[in-house]
Amino acid sequence: MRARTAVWTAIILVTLVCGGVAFAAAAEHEGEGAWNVSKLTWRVINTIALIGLLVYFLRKPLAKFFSERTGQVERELAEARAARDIAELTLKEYEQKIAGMEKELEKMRAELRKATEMESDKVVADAERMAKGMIEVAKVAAEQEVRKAKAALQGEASRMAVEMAETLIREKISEMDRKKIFEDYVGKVEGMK
Amino acid sequence: MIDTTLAKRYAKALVEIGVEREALDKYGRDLADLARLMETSGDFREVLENPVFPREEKKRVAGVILDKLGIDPMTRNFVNLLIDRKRIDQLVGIEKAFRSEVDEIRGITRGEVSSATALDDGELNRITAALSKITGKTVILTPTVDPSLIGGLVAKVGDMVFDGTIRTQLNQLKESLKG
Repeated sequence: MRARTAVWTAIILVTLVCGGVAFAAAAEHEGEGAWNVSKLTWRVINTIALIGLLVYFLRKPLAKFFSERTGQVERELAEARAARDIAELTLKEYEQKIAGMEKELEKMRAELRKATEMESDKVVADAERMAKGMIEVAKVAAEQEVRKAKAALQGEASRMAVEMAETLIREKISEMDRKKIFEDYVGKVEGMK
Repeated sequence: MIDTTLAKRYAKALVEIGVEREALDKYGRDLADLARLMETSGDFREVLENPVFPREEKKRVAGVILDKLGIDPMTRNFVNLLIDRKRIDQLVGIEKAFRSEVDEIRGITRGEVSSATALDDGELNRITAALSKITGKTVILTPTVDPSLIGGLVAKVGDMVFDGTIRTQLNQLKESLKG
């Protein structure tokens, strides 16, 4: 409101000044270029009065206006500084976070490399163990096959031997042999108790 | 299916009555005849065991057959009792248990002897006497002929086996050759 009053006052004064200057110029024109002391004096007085009025009416409002403007500018500057400080802090924070993320990423990469190496070692160890196991199994299987083959051969040989013996016995056994076998059997049974 | 415990219980009851009445042999023969009939005649067994036929019908049919076989009245009552209690399907098992009970009372043990060729009576008596001496009981052997034994003989009495066959000796030889 005060600022508006000051503006209106300034407009009136400027109008007056312009009027004074115009009046002076017209008078000068009427005098057709002749130097007139009284006219000059009047003009000086008029100018001084004008300046005095300007100073009287505009000093306080202008001072206040400029004071308020200065305060406003200072506040805005302070706010801008505060905003800048906040932005700087935020920037630092983000820089720190980015730096932390890089560290975290590096840590993760290191862990991943370590885990990969460990897994690789484990896979190799497992493969070696499996290979050893397979070799052992193959050895045992081979030994078993050899034993089975031996047993089969022995079994076949013994079967043939027994078949030959049975054939011979059936051919050669006589009634006398049968009686002798019976007597031996009864003798053994009787001798049991 | 034969329930041996149940069969023994019924057999023991009939044995006790047989001992009292001195009719063990008669009851034994009756039971043996009936058991043989049950095993050989599917129709007779069907009538007695099929639950579709009423008890009185079963008793009537059994009575006709028992009359023809000349079965002792006590044995007849015993059969009727089995029909009433729905245990007639256990008759074969009861007969075996009865024989076993009677053998136990009389100190008899039964067995069998197998040989590659038939044994004569003298040989059978000698092996029977030898086994009776070992078991301390009167042994009754059932002889059978089994040519696959090649030679010698094997006797089984109770849970004892006396094996003197050439077949077994050859099998042992075969096993020893296998190592």
